[in-house]
Amino acid sequence: MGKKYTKIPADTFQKIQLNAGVLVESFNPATGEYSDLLGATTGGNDFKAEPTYSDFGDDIDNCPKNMKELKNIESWGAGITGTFVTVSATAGKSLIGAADLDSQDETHVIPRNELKATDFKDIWWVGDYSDENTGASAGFIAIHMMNVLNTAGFEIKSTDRAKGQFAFEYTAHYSMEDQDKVPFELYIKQGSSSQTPSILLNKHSMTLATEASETLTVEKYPADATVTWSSGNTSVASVSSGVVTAGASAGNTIITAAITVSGVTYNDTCTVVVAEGA
Amino acid sequence: MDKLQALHDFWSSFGIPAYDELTVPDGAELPYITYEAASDDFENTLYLTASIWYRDESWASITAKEKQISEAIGRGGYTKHYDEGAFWLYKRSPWAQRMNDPDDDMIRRIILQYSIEFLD
Repeated sequence: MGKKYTKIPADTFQKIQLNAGVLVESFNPATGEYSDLLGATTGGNDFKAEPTYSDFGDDIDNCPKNMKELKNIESWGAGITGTFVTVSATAGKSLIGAADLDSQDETHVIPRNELKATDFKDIWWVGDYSDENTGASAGFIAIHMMNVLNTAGFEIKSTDRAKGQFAFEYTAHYSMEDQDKVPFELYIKQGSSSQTPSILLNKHSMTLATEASETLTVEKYPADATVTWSSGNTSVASVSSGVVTAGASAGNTIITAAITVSGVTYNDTCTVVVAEGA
Repeated sequence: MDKLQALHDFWSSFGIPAYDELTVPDGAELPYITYEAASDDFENTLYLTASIWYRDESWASITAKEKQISEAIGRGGYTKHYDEGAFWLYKRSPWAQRMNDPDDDMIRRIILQYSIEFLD
């Protein structure tokens, strides 16, 4: 028997974040669809949301610190850091922050000394989540960062025989228009198989002569599910890998083909009649 | 399905037979895939290899099979269920390496390197 305190949850594989994720300009949590990758990153990304606390008990004599009733959140600092290995004029504008694209020359990015409201953009980080992470019902972890600005400045790190790197530090910002709205949100959706498991035999009845054989085939989803074959009466007919073999005497039996997916068994059956001289 | 059966099913899903490299049947006809059959517990990453074997005058067919496997795994890796959980398999560098058989010019082999984590 295993130790009592060394186990992991049985659904661990359904709640794991995988891979580096992507940074995108827009994402729809309802559909899982995104558009406009900000760029290719290297080394993963590091998102952090940290509250700044104050303790009203600090000014009260004899009051212990960290009294929960006196704890207060002043604000959240949220942002994501990482490194791009691709850049474009649009991405360059984003990295510089306070900048404009030249309307006469789309290759020209012009920094400014003052910030504009349009320099702040919403972005999303979206990462693979759970064992079901492909297709229309893929799981995801998505972080919506609001009013972000690259606060790390513009930097190119080039190296001989290596890809240039562009570090970023996108910091989310509150807005005066909605001062109580924390500038980040989190969505976590567990993936699900987009297609219900199924199994279908090519025949649902057959008649065999004694000691004759015939092969059943199956259509199934998922395609890689293992089929388990069984006979209700192996003395009448046996089955192995879909090959039904009649016994030496007449009788009836039911052949069952089954698959088990996520602990649920799906099956289909074929009634076999074994007749002498059939 | 246990985790090794799931691994076998994965390597068997590319249209040619797949064998645990220690149990290739005598006289097995090419082409086929051989793979290392190993498993481990959560938090451990296994670094394994598989090989595609063809008997052919060119590398075209075996390279197409390698591409098929590569696309199935993708950049983010491939996850597959088994009774207790799921494994996560992803490519390792160098992913595909060609090898010849010094005794038979017709034998084509591509070794695939991958990592696998059993998430249960």
